[in-house]
Formats: sequence, structure tokens, C-alpha cells
Amino acid sequence: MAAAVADMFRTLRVDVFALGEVCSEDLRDIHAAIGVPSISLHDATVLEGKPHFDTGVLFNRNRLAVGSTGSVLDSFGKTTLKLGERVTFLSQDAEQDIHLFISHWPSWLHCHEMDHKRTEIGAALRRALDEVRVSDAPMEFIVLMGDYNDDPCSPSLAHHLLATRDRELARGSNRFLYNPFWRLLGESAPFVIEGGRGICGTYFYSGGDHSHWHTFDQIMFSSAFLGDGPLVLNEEGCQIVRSDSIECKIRLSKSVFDHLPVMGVIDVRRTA
Amino acid sequence: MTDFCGAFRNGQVAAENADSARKEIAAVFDEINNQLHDPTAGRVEIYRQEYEKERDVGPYEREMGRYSIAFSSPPRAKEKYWGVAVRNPKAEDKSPRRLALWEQSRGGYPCKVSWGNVDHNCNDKESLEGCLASMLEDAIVGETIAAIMRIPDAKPVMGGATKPPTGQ
Repeated sequence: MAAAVADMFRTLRVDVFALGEVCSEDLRDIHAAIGVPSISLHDATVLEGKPHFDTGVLFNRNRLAVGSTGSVLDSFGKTTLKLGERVTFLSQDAEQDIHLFISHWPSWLHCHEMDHKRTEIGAALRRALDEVRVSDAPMEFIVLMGDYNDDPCSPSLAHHLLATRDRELARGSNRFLYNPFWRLLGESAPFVIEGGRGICGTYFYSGGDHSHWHTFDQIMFSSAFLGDGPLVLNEEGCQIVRSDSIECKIRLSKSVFDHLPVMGVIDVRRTA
Repeated sequence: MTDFCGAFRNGQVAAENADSARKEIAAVFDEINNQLHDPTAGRVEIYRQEYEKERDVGPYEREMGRYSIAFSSPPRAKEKYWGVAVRNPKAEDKSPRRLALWEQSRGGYPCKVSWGNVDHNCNDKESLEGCLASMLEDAIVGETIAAIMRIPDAKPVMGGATKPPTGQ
């Protein structure tokens, strides 16, 4: 598995590569398989005791330096959920902080889609973002990414985290995040009689009642990326990464792979 | 027409709920101190305390500050915040040490405890108890409490021990 993930890392040529449902050993194996000295690892996994935290991030040290890291937790009774792992990078090209929040929210199996905890998770993560937003800079560069186990249209993300599909709304108010993955809710290509099989999201579950597909994996951006600052969202690059081998695997109910990766692109605006 | 009577009634219910949530939170800290009293021989008291710090300056002020050595700078505004503190009520030096940051919403819950690199939001009594137990298990928190317990006892005086400041 490490070799396949390392291959993907090399093919996509990304500077930040976040992984979910991993343990420290997986991360070390993947890091070793990539074998590039300038790639560093931030291991945010805690799998002993409860709750389990299973995210980590690989990043390119030639372009990004880690400023600080932290975990945001939310508890209800005996249940503790990790809302996200915050990694604040300094972009060396843009000389600008980028606050990355990596999340793996609970599945519908452990926290039903209508459970009030899901809305509270969205609101609590928004409060964590508000703490970043009240710092000196009026428009902070914040990126959220991960497996939210909720679609972009779900109340937790759309109404409580305030991740909107409306770019103008997000551009006009930094209370909102822009979520380009609203555009990737449906079929990957229009219907034609002899068309091939497409995808319809990032997560496949053959037992789904109303759809086998969900767009649970998303990347969201703060308003600052839609302005005229040093970092700009390149929306054309925001996509579900297609791969025949992974698509075959996720359709098999016994496979450990059930998600397709997603990618987001940020351009550095060079000033004369 | 806006239903002001309904809004008033809702506000009264919210006030009652907030009051009982605040009492419940205070009771959690009382319970910690009750349980720790015997094993620490009464040398550990954990409570919420308000702190003050100078307000963080913005980039403009920071930049100007570099060139203002020759001029007297105006005093910076103070910012208040809450923390979870520990003190030794039997010690000569009863000054508290901060264990964590504390934030509480207007309605009591959620409240947030931050220590190390963890921000932990608690939505009810049980989760707050679990969170504070995790805080006490932290190595740095443990060292701080151990240091507080090692402070020499005060010489006995008539009048008994002083009370810690009242929490939120």
C-alpha cells in the first residue's frame, strides 16, 4: 500500500499530502517509500486508548515551514471527537501563513447523519476558525481538508461550518468558507448512450439507500484565497483524483480502499 | 409582529439553564478538590482564575514599535482571559500557577480547556470531567502540580487558610 500511495504522491507532485485512517507505522512506511529528503512528516495519530486519531500530513520543506500545530477536540458525554488537526505553515514563496485543518469526522455508523453531534462538530470547528480569524491579519488563509463523512450540502458543513457553494458570498464575507466540492456532487460526465462508467463522488458504499456515492472528501478555502492577496485559489485544479485501480478497488466491498483522493490547488501570485 | 413575550419567556428559560450549567461546572471543580484533598494532604486546590495580559499588537503597531525607541510609547490595553489554576493553600507562597486556558460560553456549555497543543471543547458535565481528568494526566500539568506541592508550608497563624478566588 505504501508504494501505491508514494506513487500517487510523485505523480500528483503535491506540496501537502494529508492522509486519513492511518497509523504511525503507515505514515513512516509511506514517508520512506517516497524517499525524498525534502519531504517531512507531521504525525498526528494517536491510536492508543480512546479516542483514536488517525491523520497525518507529508509536506515539502522546500516550500513550507511548520509554524505550529494543535488538536481541536469536542466531547459529548464519554465521546470525544477530533474536529481537526491544525498545522500552520509558512509559505516561503508567498511569505504568508497558511492554516491547514485536517479532519476525519465520525462515520454515519458511529454518528448518524441526523445526530445533533454532527451539527455541533461543524459549529465547534467554525469557532476554532474564528480564533484564527481574530488574529491581527483581517483575512487569514485557511484551508480545511479531509473526510467529513458528510456531503457538502449537509447541515454540519453548509449551515454550521458555513462552507458555502456561493463564491460571491464567500468572497464578500470571511465568516464563510468556499467549498468548491459542491461542484463535484454529481456524475463526473453527462449521460451518453455509449459512455463509460463514471464516478459520482469520492466515497462508494454499495449498501447506500439513495446513492452508492457521496462526496465526503472535500477541501474548503477561506475568503482570503478569493481575493487579490499573495495566494489565490486555482479552482480548475480542485478535483477528485481519478485512478482506474482505486476505482476498481472502492467498488469491491471487501477492499480496504473506499475513498478516492481529492486535490486542491493554490497559486502564488507574484508581484512585480 | 415580533413576539416579544415569547422572546422574553425563552430568555428566562435560557437564564435558568445557564445558571444551572454554571453551578454544575463549579461543582465539577469542587469535586476535583474534594477527591484530591486526602491524597495531597490538602496541598492542591484547582480553580478558575482570571488573568490579564497586554493586548497583542497589530502588524502596523509592531512595525512602528521598531522605530519608537526614542519616544515614550503609550501603555498598551490589557486583555483579560480565564485559566485553570492550581495553588497550594497550605504553602507559604500561595500564588497560583496556570495549568490551562479556560473559556466558557454565555450559557455555560460548551466550555473549552486548552493545554499543551490541545483545545478541548466540552458540551456537558461528563465531558468536562473527562477532559479535566485528561488534563491532570498530562506530564507538564503533573510536574506543575508536583512543584506546587513541594512549596514549604506556611507557619501556622491564627485565623485559618485563605479562600481561593471565586470562579466564573
